[in-house]
Amino acid sequence: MTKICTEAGRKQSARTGGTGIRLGQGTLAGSVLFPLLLVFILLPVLAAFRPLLDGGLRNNVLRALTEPRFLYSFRFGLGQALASTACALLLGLPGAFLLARRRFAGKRLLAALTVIPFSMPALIVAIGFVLYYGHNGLLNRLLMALFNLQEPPLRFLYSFQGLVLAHGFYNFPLVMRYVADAWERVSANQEDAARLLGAGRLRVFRTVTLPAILPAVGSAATLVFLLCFFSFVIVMLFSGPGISTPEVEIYRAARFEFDKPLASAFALAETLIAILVLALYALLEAKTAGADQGQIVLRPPQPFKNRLSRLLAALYGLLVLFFFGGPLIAIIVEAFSVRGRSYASASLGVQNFLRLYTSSGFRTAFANTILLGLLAAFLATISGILLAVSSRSFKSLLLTRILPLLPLAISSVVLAFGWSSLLGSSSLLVIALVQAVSAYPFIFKAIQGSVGRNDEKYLQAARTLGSSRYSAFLRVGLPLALPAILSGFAFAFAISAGDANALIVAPVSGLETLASYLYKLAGSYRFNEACAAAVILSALTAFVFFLKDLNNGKA
Amino acid sequence: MVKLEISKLTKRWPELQLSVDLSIEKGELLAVVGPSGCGKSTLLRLLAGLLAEDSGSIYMDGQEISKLDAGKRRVGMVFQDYALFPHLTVLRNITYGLHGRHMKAEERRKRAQELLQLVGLPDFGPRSILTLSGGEKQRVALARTMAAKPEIILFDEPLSSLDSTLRKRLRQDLREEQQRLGFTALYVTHDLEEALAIADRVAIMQNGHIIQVAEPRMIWEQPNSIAAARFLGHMVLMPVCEATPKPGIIKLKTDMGHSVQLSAKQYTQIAEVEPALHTGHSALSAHDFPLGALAFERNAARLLKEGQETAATDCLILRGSCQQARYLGEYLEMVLELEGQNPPTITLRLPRETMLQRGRSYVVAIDLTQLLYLTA
Repeated sequence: MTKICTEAGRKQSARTGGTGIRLGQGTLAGSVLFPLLLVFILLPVLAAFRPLLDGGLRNNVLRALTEPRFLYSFRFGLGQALASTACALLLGLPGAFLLARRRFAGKRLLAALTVIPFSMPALIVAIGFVLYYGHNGLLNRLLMALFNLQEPPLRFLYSFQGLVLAHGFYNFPLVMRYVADAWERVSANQEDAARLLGAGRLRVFRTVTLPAILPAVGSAATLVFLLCFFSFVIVMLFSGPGISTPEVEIYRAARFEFDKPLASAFALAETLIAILVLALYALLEAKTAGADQGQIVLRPPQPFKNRLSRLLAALYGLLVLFFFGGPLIAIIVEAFSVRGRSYASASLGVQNFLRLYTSSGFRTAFANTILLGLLAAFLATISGILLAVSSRSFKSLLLTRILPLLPLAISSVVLAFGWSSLLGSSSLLVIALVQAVSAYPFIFKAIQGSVGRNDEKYLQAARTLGSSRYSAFLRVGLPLALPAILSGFAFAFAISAGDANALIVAPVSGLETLASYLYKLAGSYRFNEACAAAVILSALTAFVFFLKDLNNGKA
Repeated sequence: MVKLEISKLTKRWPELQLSVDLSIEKGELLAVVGPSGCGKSTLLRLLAGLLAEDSGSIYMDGQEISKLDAGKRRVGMVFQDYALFPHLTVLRNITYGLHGRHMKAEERRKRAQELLQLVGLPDFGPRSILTLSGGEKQRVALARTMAAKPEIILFDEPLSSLDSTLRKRLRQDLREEQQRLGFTALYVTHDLEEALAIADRVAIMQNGHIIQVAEPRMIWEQPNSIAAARFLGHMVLMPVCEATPKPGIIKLKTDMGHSVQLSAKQYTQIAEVEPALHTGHSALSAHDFPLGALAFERNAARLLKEGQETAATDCLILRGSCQQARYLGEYLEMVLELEGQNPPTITLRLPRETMLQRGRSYVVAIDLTQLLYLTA
């Protein structure tokens, strides 16, 4: 997710020749804003950990460690995250190669896929998987009809494998984008130099290309790992026997067993693990950035060299379309399917949408989604800008790289608990804050990419032409950074609109959003209406991205 | 040491058609010079085997190498950005090309150490590439290329990213090393001075074609075409409207009405070049100078004092008013607007102690022996 934003920022930066935001020397920003933002993140986290002290820290930790599901959920959670990451890598790396190195029809479509993990809520993907791979899913029905089977042949969805497949497919575009970016930037001269020194194709790849893309593979993998480790709504929807992750256990312990100390112990262990992974991510990110060697001769994408490679690429495309496109198509089919009394009989129509439209709950949810999305995106964008600006006054890796990404290591479940226990109860503001904090690392990256240090020259040019510092910021810095800010805003809006976690964990009475409405519809097996709602939700986020692009086009 | 022959090598792009015939002698350093985008780097990549030619052949000591894979041609290349592997140390960069040659690790290290000694960086083996200066990178790149013992080394503007003082020093170093080690080299640059300073012979390349190959002095003093003279930029070119060849001499009349008679030595190229007059490499030159141009070096003009005109025989005499006079350290540059209708301006280089007044009329003389008749 980060990479897309960074990329957006970088592309904007390249298009506009760099952008610049600079408020004073950053001292005010550095000394006031950093701690302020830390308070916004640390306060709820500390509040979420506080119940650990109820009845003695030692006792609670010991109790958690001896609790069988503690070890089990961590083993399962880490295992599924690892396997999901491997799956995403396996699917993403060939795509990255194709995007970076080959020229072919349909490349734009493949590139467009990379926006899916960001603009399409996990909830919709989960529903798509249920409809496609589920017992009654499209694929099973198809296979049963084709082979005249009595029982659905595919029964892996509500298991470890199903979870890994869903996570893998949801996140592989992220690997693809991240690694393709690095692959595109591998120096063609270095590869040619290796060839001229007698290295064969394999050795050139192993000794030149691979070392150059490895940091990107590593940072994509750690990011995907974190996202899968903290995945909540997919796990909840797929929850079957044996499926349990720390994230779900926190929710169960706190909401149904009222055992807050135990939930806190889970949260603490989960956060510590995530911080370790995040540190690794930051290290690899720094290495990716550090490997920049100024101007590099790039190799333009080449056409396929032979039939075999063309065939392999076509197979890959079909695989992606079949496994990943299938669930998305299933959602659209289901949204426009009107079912009679029997599940098997269905006709096409827009009744599902009409039913939604006439339900007052849906209309309120729609309005709430926009309100909450705007609020969360506003909070995230403001904090993203302030932190990106203030982080410029520091050189330390910890302050500029790890700290701003800290929210990646804190799950929205923990944040939601933290805020609601801090403020006594949940509210619209709590939900907006949780979503803003979750969305903000991505905005921060987008904006940080566009407030690069070498963009000073534009502001300096404005100053030499008679602008005051603030006028230069308003007339030059801000307009140049605007596309990146808008892009960040759109991502934050999409993340907020698609997020059901916060409202599931910390429900606010009377507050329903499209995502939570969708979750409830899916939970009560009203899939046709759920899919119609999913189509509307996707259309809403797509519309916001369209608005952003419209503005970028003007810029 | 090998001789390299390039025979009718062609490569077509939509925007450029490259067509080259060239030979490089054993142990020679040939510099190819030309403006950006003229096809210099493409030529190198074709020779290295990094790009497939459309037609033509490349021979190394009579053996055709055009069909061989890049790694098997025994052609080394020093890239513009050096293309050193950033994740390997200096030593491992140099030993990179020694793998798979049945050499023990110790032998490889020894060989790399010898090369480091040779390029004057004996203690740099364990250093990271990222810590090297531009000049150090250039030497490591040369050592890495030489480690693989190529028969010929191609240099793709290896000094263009360095500042001018360092560039001058390094080109001298490079030349000395090439002469000491005796490898055959093809050196590509857009910097004319660098080409003249470093090479045994210089080839001028334009629009994918080599338009002249000669020793540096020859290139400078006797460019063979208007295109070559234009690239060199050191000559005044005056369009010719009448050219009458006679045995041993040629009579020329310029657009401005000046008539001169040149000896055979000054137009020997004409017989060979004339057929190419309207189909030549440079359409612009052919168009601007349909019958060729009278050319002389900008610093060949002498300023005549009043009354000296009549004494100046065997000279081309030009009259005009001084439009600009610029003091440029080594010489004084005068922009002279010639007399006549639609008067052209020419730029001359005079001794720096010359005193000029803007707007005043001057007369300059160029010895007939300094004149050349160039065609397209």
